[in-house]
Amino acid sequence: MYCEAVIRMLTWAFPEHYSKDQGHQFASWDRCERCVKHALRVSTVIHTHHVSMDQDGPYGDLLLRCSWYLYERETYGPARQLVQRAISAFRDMTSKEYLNAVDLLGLIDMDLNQPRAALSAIEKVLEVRRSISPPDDPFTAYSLNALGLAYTELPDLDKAYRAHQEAMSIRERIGSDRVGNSYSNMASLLLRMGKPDEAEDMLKRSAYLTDLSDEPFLASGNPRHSGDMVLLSRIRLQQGTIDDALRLATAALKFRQERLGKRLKTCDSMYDVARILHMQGGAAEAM
Amino acid sequence: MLNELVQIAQSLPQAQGQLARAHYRLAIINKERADDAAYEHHKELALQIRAALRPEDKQADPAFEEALFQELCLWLLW
Repeated sequence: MYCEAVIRMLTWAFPEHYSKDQGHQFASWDRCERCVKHALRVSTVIHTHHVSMDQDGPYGDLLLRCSWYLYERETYGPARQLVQRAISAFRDMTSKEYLNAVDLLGLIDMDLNQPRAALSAIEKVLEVRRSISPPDDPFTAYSLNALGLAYTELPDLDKAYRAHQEAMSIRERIGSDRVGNSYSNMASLLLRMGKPDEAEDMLKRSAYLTDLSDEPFLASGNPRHSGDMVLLSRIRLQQGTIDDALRLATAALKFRQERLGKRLKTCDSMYDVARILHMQGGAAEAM
Repeated sequence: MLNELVQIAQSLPQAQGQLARAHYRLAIINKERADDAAYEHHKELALQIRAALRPEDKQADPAFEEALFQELCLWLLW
């Protein structure tokens, strides 16, 4: 009884991602951070002592919510462990919680540069969603978008294009506020296809990025938007405007250092800046 | 910048690809500066990390190019 009460209290601290397709929940990070070590402790105790918990109950929900937070903070090892425990805690393999847990496993594997493993998880969920949801379901669009990301990384660019196109069409038809996410991901794909001008046009379709100035990226405070800034920097690099590329890469780095700390995405931005400095002849600064 | 990146990436298990790529860039810069010892040092580290991450890749003497290390990192880390 006490265990369940603790689980319910901790669950309150972590936002859920299975009722609505939404991006990073960075506004909740401070609250989550205060509770995450307690949630990890509860999970360790339950796991170590083989405490029996109800399938499809609040424990799986806590594990899932907590693993989303750990993923957003780039704490991939614990995030992966918890989401696997969450998957085991759900019996109904068509429930929104179970599918969301497998979604997250795919996203974690993607960030860990395991796109084939990610693809396996994403395809599994997409198949279920297509079979149980109406054609324009927001989470089907979510799965298709994730599929596009995985194919972009593999890379299988034609398949990535078809997946992103389908996701984008659904999101446009239903007026989803996640359509900007599709524009960004499609822009990244177009850049990988060697089409920087088309990538720029696609990125500009996001309402908050219409004039591609720095302010909207930074003002939002959303770590996810630093990805847009990284993308625009790389677009500028392919377009040959290297000073602009450096300015954007430097701004993205500063944002990530301050917001995310010494994590994987910060490393990625450090390399971007160092590479551009080196290209400009600034070897000493790059080192 | 790259030396700081190496320090951070060494502490993150998931950043080994980033670490290899940083050593690659340090190797190239040191080669341009005619620091052969530093070039060999960073090249060896970059290739060692790559071999650990991609044990299935048995190329005997792959070209020491950025693409070799770029594939250890995501195209775009959102």
